[in-house]
Amino acid sequence: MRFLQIGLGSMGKRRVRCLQTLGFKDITAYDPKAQRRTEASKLYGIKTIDRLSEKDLIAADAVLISTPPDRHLEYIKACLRTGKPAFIEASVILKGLPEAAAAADRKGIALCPSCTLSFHPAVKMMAKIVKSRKYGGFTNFSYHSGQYLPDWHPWEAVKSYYVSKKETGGGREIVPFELTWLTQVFGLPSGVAAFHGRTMNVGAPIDDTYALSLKFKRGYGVLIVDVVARCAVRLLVVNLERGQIRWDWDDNSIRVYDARTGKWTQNRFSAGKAASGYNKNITEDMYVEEIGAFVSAARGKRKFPNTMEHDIEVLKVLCRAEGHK
Amino acid sequence: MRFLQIGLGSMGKRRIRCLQRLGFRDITGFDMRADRRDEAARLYGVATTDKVSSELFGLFDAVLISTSPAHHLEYMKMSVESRRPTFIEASILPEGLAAIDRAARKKNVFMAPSCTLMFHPAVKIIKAAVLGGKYGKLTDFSYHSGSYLPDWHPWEPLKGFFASQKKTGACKEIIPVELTWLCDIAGLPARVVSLYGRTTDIGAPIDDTYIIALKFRQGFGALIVDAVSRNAVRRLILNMERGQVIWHWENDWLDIYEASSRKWKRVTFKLGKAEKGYNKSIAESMYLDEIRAFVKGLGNRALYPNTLAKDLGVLSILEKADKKYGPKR
Repeated sequence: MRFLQIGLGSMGKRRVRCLQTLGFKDITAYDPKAQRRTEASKLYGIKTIDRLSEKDLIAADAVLISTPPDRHLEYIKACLRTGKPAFIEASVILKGLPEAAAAADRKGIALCPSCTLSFHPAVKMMAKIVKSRKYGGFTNFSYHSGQYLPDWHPWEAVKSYYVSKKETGGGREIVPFELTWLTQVFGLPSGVAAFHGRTMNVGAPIDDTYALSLKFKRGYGVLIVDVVARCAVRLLVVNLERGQIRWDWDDNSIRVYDARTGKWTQNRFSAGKAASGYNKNITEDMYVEEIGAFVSAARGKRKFPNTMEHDIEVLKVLCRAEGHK
Repeated sequence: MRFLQIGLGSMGKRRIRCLQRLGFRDITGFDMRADRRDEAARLYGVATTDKVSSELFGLFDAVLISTSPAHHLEYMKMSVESRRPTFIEASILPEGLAAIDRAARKKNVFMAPSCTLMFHPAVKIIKAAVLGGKYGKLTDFSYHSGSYLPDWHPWEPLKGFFASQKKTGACKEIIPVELTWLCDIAGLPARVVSLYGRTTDIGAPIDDTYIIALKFRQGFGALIVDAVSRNAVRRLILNMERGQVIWHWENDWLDIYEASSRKWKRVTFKLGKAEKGYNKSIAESMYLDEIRAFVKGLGNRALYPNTLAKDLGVLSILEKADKKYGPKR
C-alpha cells in the first residue's frame, strides 16, 4: 500500500512511525517546511515533497492528514476530489465538516477522524465494563484532563505553532479529543453548561481552561480540561449503579469497585512505551493501533471506530460549551 | 458552662461527644422523640427534655442546633430572642436566614454555622498551599464528592430521614458543606451553571447528582456532588500557576507538585479515628476541633471561621445551581 503523509510536525512524524511499525514502507510525505522534510527523510528514510499536487494524491492508496487543525479541511477536500480514504488528526473546527462528511458519504470515501484515546487500554476496559452493564447503568462521572501547554513541544515556543491560536488553542483542542471517547462510552450529551477562559500566562492568549457540566440520556458528567496543570493529569471516577471505576493515567491499571462484594479489583494492562521527548503516559501503542484500524478501513475490511458524523456532534458540544448555537 | 443540645439524632449525639471530650459536663439534650432522649441519657448521661422555648434557651450559656435542616430556623429564632450564642449544623435552606442574620447582628448574638471540613487536616493544608502564595494563583480545580445515601444511616430506614426528602435531599446538604470550604479557599464564584437530576433508584425521590461549573474571579472549578457513589469518594485536583494538589480523602496524606523543582511532595497528617458505624474517613477529630472553635468563639467570635453572612453567600450558589442557572443548552 502507498501512503501519503500530509504534514511532518510531531504528529506527522508519529504517523510515519506508526505506518513503519505496521510494516508499510511506501510512504511519501509532504510538508512545506524544508527542515521538517530533511528531518523526516533522515529519521525514517522516506520520500518527501515540498509541493502537493493532485497527482500525489492520486498516486497514493490512502492519505493521513496531520496538519494544524485549521488546515484539515483543504486536504480533506483534496481527498474527496481524488477519491482517497483519509485519516484526519483530532479536529477542533466544525466549519465545513458537515459538507465534507456528506460528500464522503455520497462518494463512498472513508474519512476516518482520529479517536486515539479509544485505543488506550484503560479506555477500552472501561468502555467494555460500562457497556456490559455488569454493574448496572452509569450514573455519573468526573474527569479531569490537565496538561501544561509549554510542556507539549518543549523544543519550540508555544507561539510558534497552532496551539497558540484562539480557534485551535491547546485547551480548546483537548475538549473534543476527550469528548470523542467519553461520548463513545456514555453517549452524546443532551445538556451542556460550561465555562471557559484564560487563567494564567501559558505563552499564548488562549482559553486555557474549560469546565463542562454534561447531561446524558442517563446520568451526568463533569469534564474539566486545562493546559495549566503543571503536572499532567488524567483522573476519572465513573459511578455505576452497583460499582465504581477509577482511572489514574499514571497507573497501568483501572480499579473497579463491586458494591455486591464490597471489594476492589485492579485490572492491569501494558500501556507500552512513549517516544523520546513525550510524557511517559503518551504511549505509542494506541497511535499504532489507531493507524492499523485506519488501514483496515481504507482497505474496506473494517469500519473505523470513529465517524465524521460523531466528530461533528462532538464539535457541536464544544460549540455549545462555548455558548454558540 | 451550660450547653443546650437541640436534636439528638446522629449529629446531636456527636456534638455531645465533642463537648464531653472537651471536658464539658453540664449538657441538656432536647429531642421530641423519647427513644432518642433515652438513648442520649443512657449513652452520655446527659439531662434531657422534650420541651423547648426561648425561656429555656436563656438558662444556658450556649446552644447547639442539630435538628434536620428544615427546623433550624425556628430554633435559631429562639437563640436570637434569648441572645444565646449558637452553633448550627450545615444549612440547606436560605429562607429566613438573612433576617436571622440581621436580627442576630442587631442583638449582638454570636451565630456559628457549621463548617466542619475547614477543620479537616487536608483542607487546612490545601488552604495554606493556595493562599500561601508559594505556588502562585489558583487556576482551576475539579472536585468529586460522592457518597451512597443508603450508607449514611444504615441503622434506620431512609423514609423520614431528611436527606431522603426532595427539599432537603442529600446532595442539597452536601453542596453547601463542600462549597463552604471551597469558597473559603477560592472565594465566592462570580458565576455558576449547573445540571442535576435523578440517575437511579436509591430508595428516595431526590435529585441524586448535581454537577456545577464555577467561574471565580480568578480561575474555574468543576464540582460534582452525588449520593449514588457505591464507594464514597472525595477527590480533588487543584491547579495553581506553579503547583498542583491532589487529594483523595481515603488517604492520610495529600500530594503537592512543585513546578519549580518538578517534584511531588507528600504531606502526611493524622486523620484520627471514625466513630463506630461511620465511614473510616469521617474522622471525629474535625467535629471536635469545630466545637472547640465554637467554644473559643464564645470568648472571641473572630476565632470561629464561619459566619451566617458567609453561609448565605454559599447558599445563594446552591439556589442558583438549583434553578438550573445559566443559558439553556
